[in-house]
Amino acid sequence: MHKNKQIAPYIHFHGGLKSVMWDVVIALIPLIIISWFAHGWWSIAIIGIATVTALISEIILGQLFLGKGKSIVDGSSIITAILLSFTLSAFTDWGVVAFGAFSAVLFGKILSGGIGKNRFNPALLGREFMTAFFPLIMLSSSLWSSQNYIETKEIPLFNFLGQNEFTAFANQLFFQPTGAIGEHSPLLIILGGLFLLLRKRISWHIPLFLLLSFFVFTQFWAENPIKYSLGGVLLGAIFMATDMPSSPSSPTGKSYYGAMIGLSAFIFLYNKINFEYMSYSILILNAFSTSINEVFAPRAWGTKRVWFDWLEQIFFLTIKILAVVFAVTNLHFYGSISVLLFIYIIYLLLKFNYKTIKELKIKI
Amino acid sequence: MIPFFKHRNKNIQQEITSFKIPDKLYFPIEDKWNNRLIPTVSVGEMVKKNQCIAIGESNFPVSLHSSVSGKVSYIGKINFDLEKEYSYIVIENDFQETEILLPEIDIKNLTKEKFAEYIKLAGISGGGGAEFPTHIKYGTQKPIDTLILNGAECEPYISSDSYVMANFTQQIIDGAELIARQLNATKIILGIEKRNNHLRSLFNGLKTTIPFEVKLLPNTFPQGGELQIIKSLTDLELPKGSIPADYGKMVSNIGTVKAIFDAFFERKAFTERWVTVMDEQQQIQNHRLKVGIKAKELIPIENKEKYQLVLGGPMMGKELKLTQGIINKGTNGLIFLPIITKEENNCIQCGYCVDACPMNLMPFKFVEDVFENNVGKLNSHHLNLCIECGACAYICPTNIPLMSGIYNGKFKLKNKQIA
Repeated sequence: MHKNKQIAPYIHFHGGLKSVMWDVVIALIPLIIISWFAHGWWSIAIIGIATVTALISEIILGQLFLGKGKSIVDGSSIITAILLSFTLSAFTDWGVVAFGAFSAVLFGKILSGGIGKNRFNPALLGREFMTAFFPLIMLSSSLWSSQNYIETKEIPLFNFLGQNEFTAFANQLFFQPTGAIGEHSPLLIILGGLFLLLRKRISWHIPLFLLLSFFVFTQFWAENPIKYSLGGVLLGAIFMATDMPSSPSSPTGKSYYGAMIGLSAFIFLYNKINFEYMSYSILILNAFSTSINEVFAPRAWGTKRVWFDWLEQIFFLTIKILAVVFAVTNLHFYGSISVLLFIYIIYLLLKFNYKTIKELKIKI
Repeated sequence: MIPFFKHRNKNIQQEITSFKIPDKLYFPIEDKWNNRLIPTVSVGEMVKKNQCIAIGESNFPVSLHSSVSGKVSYIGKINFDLEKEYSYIVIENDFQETEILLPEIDIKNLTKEKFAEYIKLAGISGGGGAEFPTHIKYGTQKPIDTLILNGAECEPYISSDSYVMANFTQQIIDGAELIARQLNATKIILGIEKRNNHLRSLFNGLKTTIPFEVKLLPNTFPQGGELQIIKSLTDLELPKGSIPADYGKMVSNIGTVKAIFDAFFERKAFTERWVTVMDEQQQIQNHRLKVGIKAKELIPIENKEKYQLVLGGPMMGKELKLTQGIINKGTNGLIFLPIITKEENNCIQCGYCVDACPMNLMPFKFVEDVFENNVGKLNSHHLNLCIECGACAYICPTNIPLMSGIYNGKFKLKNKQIA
């Protein structure tokens, strides 16, 4: 109808896809710097390897599968690579890291049809691929017992507050040398999140409801105190769960999505899945984000919600999600998460051959 | 709703540079709803300003008046390179500006019928862009409690209504009081945006016989739609397609009120209106332009590769090629805008369009549904509620074809209903 004609609006908000991506990179830079304090060049090497691999794979695979080559580089693969390395130990085998970044780009993005069409968070998917294919390396306990290689034991940033418990707590919040590369500084993660909030790159709904439900459940439900990494939860809440393509789009949908991630993370932790709880719950909710979008569509102007029907829809959606959470818990204990990934690979390849390739030009 | 940070109304110059009025003026004798008008003049006849040149075939369309004095040179179809040919009355301007006045009317002893009839005689239709005949709107039998004056100018650059409010404050009040008296409304509310707060003191300083209140609207886009302004001012969310009169509300545009003042107090027909003109140097001026001027003949476009001339505002206006390109009673802007090239990418489902949509819809879903040719989903996503304001397309970081998705989707819905 209106093809090849200039149609309204004739002005446009300045700031396209690239500025969205670079804002996220800016928010991540302080965390890269602080990781250098913890494990020195070991951390930087992991981030570097992941980034270079992701960029190269994106250019080559983009050319091969999507026919787009260089034009595809918009910063998103850099974010994927940095986020992937943030979930790893600084002493992960470099070859495995490269494999993770490669599969994050290939299975997380390219085979779905490029940026925006992915269903799952590419970084977390890459991490699951690493665990599934190299379980011996990824699950060895020596990976996390890195006490001997710590460059800086503490950064006494808040000592001007005087010597008391709060100072020690604040210092720990700013820097703790253990854990994965991105988890060293909860405070800087929050600052990065605030920056993204101000730039409107994330909305407050997902992090707030995620953290709220997670802390409420861990504090009041569990009989024994549950151990978790604050940095890990924050990283997941602020940078992973808010990934735009794989999260819902409406405010209410985002709130529900966040709350359900918090709940699933608690269920996994309760069942003693101590490392993968965050990535499992985010990936599961990723799979449901389209249905969440449908159920939690904003109430259109002048229409009324039929409350009973709506609550019924929400109820059944919640049941479905919880069923998947329990199924994944069981699969985890039988060590068969990799089966899920194989099924996903086959599904992706079939879909790519029969559907995605025909729809490459469609922007949605 | 979206705020405009980058496109504020700046560079507003109040001193008027005058345009050379073109030799020929074109008056289309069919309206947007395909209602025909019957010419009351014939080729070769001399006409004066304010003289009626065509009347409606039915009660619906308003009369048409000449905005200049001169000679009728042609009546019939003209092809302006549009998809459809339209019929026009063409008047050759003699630049004498000899005018006649509308018949006398006793303002003090008006009945509702006389009021509506005179409005139709003066050719007044809504000045907000929709051009709905005002006499039909005011002829309602429903009781009206509130007259809402729509002073919202949410489109960036456009400032013709605020110019009228600032310079003809007393006339707006007189016109509004006249309307309110005829409708038996008990109060008048004027809605203006926060950034036009300086207008409030102008209105508050004047005495009125009917309670008059100025309320502030947020600075976001869109505000000017009837439903939006009623929601902002009275907190009443009317379903789309409903008539505000059913709820006791009557919304009138500032341009309409000014036209009513001109008709009743100065006996002038609706032949001229205030239009915001922005030139290639992005200078904004407000001009009193004659209805019937062909925009291209008023301001020639020199750099066609770089600039386009838009009739209306930059958000909901239309580029000249999509319209007849003639200034009509609903035109509030005539602006030069640089042609922007948009880099299209895949939708990243950021949800910016969902936040921007004033009707609480999910615009990116429409593109998906249109591609899947899924009319049922288009319905369940409430495409029919879309007011085509363009807020989603303005904010979209990846420039997915939101507007063409919406237009094509509505086209599909229409076809489905017919079939």
